[in-house]
Amino acid sequence: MSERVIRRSHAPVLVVPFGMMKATEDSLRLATVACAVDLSEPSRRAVDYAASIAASAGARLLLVHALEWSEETDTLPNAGKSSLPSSEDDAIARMNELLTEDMRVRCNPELVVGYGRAADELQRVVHERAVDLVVLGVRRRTLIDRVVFGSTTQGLIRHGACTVLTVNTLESAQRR
Amino acid sequence: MQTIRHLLCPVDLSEPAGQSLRYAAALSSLLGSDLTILYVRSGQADARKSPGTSLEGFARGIVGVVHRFAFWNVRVKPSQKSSTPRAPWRPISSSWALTVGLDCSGFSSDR
Repeated sequence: MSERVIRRSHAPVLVVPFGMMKATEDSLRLATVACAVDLSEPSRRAVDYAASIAASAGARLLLVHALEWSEETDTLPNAGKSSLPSSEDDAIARMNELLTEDMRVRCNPELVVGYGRAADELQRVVHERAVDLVVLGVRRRTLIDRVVFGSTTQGLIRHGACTVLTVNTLESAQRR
Repeated sequence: MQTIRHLLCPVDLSEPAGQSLRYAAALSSLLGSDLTILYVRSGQADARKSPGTSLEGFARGIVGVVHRFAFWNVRVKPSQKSSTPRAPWRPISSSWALTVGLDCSGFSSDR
């Protein structure tokens, strides 16, 4: 059900795992907000939402990017592809480009670069940094996007470690 | 930065839905956004004529959920209460949908 809604909705969709907010709790715990970015231009929309929520809640904002390392060649498979970062420094520089001055002032963002599959790295960060909310940009153009969606978004939702906000980063951004 | 002005929370009146509703109310209060509950009644039956499915009946059900999950200081908006009971039901394909706006500005631990 959640996946169908996420795919069809032009508005961001929040998925709350059962047990995330117990009846005995009086307020929402939102101390750390993480935003997973692939450094594409559409990632900006997800970062916009993550920063807005973090600023409203007074939460820490983490921008997370995973560099996929090839053990076979002992290199980054991204090397040589201009659309993807070729090094950790390159990734950090491009993550900084997604942040506005307003976001820096209000959210004091922290940039996190990991090595490995995006889904694995994101789950590691969620666990180690006690993330309360993950904001993900979701594209729905191709079969490959669906596979990526399955491994990252579905993994987080089914694992139930935290609340997930999915943001459609293509057509909807242009319609609003 | 993007501003979240309005949250929509679909519910089926189950316990998980109650928890997500409580989360949505807390988030709505935190962000200063509006919150609307969406309840969809599936099937061909004319929900508008069924007992217990009027707006007031549904609002009473929501109040029950509110109390069940310690959902304090959240109220059905007055404009919703004064509407014609059967008017807010809207047909969607073979189902019926009902929306109710909630005022979550007072959501807090005050009991």
